[in-house]
Amino acid sequence: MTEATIGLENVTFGYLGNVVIENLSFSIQQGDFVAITGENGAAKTTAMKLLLGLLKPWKGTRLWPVNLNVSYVPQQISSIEQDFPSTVFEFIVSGSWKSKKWYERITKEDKERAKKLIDVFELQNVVDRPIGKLSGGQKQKACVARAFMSQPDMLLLDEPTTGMDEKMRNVFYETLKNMCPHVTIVIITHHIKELKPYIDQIIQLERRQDTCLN
Amino acid sequence: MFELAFMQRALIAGMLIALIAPIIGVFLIMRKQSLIADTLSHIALAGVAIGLVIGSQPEWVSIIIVILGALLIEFLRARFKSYSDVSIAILMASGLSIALCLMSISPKGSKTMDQYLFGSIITVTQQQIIEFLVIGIGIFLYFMITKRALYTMIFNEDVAKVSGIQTKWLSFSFSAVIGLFISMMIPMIGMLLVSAIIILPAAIAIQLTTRFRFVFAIASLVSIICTFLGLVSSYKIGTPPGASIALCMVLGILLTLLYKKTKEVVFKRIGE
Repeated sequence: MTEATIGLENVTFGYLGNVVIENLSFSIQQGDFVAITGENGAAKTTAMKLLLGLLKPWKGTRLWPVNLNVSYVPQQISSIEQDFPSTVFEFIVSGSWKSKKWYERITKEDKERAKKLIDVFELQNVVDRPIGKLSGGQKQKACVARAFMSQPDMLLLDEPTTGMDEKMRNVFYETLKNMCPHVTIVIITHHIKELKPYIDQIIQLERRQDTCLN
Repeated sequence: MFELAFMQRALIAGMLIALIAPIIGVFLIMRKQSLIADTLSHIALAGVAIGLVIGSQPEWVSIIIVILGALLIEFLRARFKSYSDVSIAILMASGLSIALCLMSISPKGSKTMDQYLFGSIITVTQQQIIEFLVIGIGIFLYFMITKRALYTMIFNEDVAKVSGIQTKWLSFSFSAVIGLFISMMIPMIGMLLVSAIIILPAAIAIQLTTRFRFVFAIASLVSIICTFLGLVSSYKIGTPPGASIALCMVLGILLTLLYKKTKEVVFKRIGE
């Protein structure tokens, strides 16, 4: 794990000439649990994608250390097709491919780690079911478990609690916080009140008046 | 019947197709791009027609045009994400209309048109088998190397990018490989049935298993059985080989759906 800073510095970005983020700056400390919040259209997902380097800023700098092992769980991941030919176990284990060459096999250790994650995220009863046939909340959990498989230094989650009720959400936050205290977690959420006991930093984004909602 | 040299060649060519086509089919179904195979076969026909008009070898011109077509589809898919099926419709119509117009002005046009529309696996030559074997091994290796990356990209493109996968390169190479394989298949299977041979065994396998590690093996096994049965029935009854193989696959998917429905009903009754 590197000690270098992670964040954005005076970043401006927009779509089709329409600025959605202007001079945004924030930095994230190693091991922190950070929440990005704001109303609809406040460009929370855009900010996360800028941080990940999936979008290139018009202006400003992305601060990103070399060799940072990062995992990402995008928004609405629960839209995985019903017929996606993969069991929950295979899907979670596939998270370990990231650190492997194409010819390297899945090891016993990988399978053991997957089993532990399945226990932590309470997916034991659906382990052999097709991933596409889980409920929205279970799919989200499976996606986060998959993201943990590569033992990331940093985990970015875009509204991971979609499809979960309040009780499930609280268990989910507790699990995240306790599982890997050294992993930097950035989470986009609308449930900031529920998340407050767990987080170290809040990045509050405001919607620009001239921003159009999709 | 397999003591006859032409039937032996047909069987070898059929088995080579049966091993590789379903791998492509599984990924196409997972990417919701089942119609691409059909589109590319239409473009291949345009390639053959261009080859005939310029007096060059139609097979090789067809390969180049299909690969270019596959890359164009991929470009349009990335450019118009919400309307990707429109690009397929445009290219399908373009391919067929270019082929029909150019073949009408070529002296060898109508004969070649028939050959490429319907194909004939029993006229395959030793030379064609060797070429197909070399390209087939290459394609098989491509899928061995990219299988995990393709899975991740199909699951989610952004996740794949964050994992360090060059998704643009992967998408283009995937399309180019499909284009290459389809243009090699067309003289044997025929343009009209290429899509069925690629998609149907994969569709059957996806119905039969939920495991990614088994889906390719099952799809290839289904394809091998249907190819064998198709060739035998074609020889015995005198039906066209490509159509007989495709018909066996259609029968296969009907039986699979029937089996699944029966299983569902039985489990429901046991549950009650």
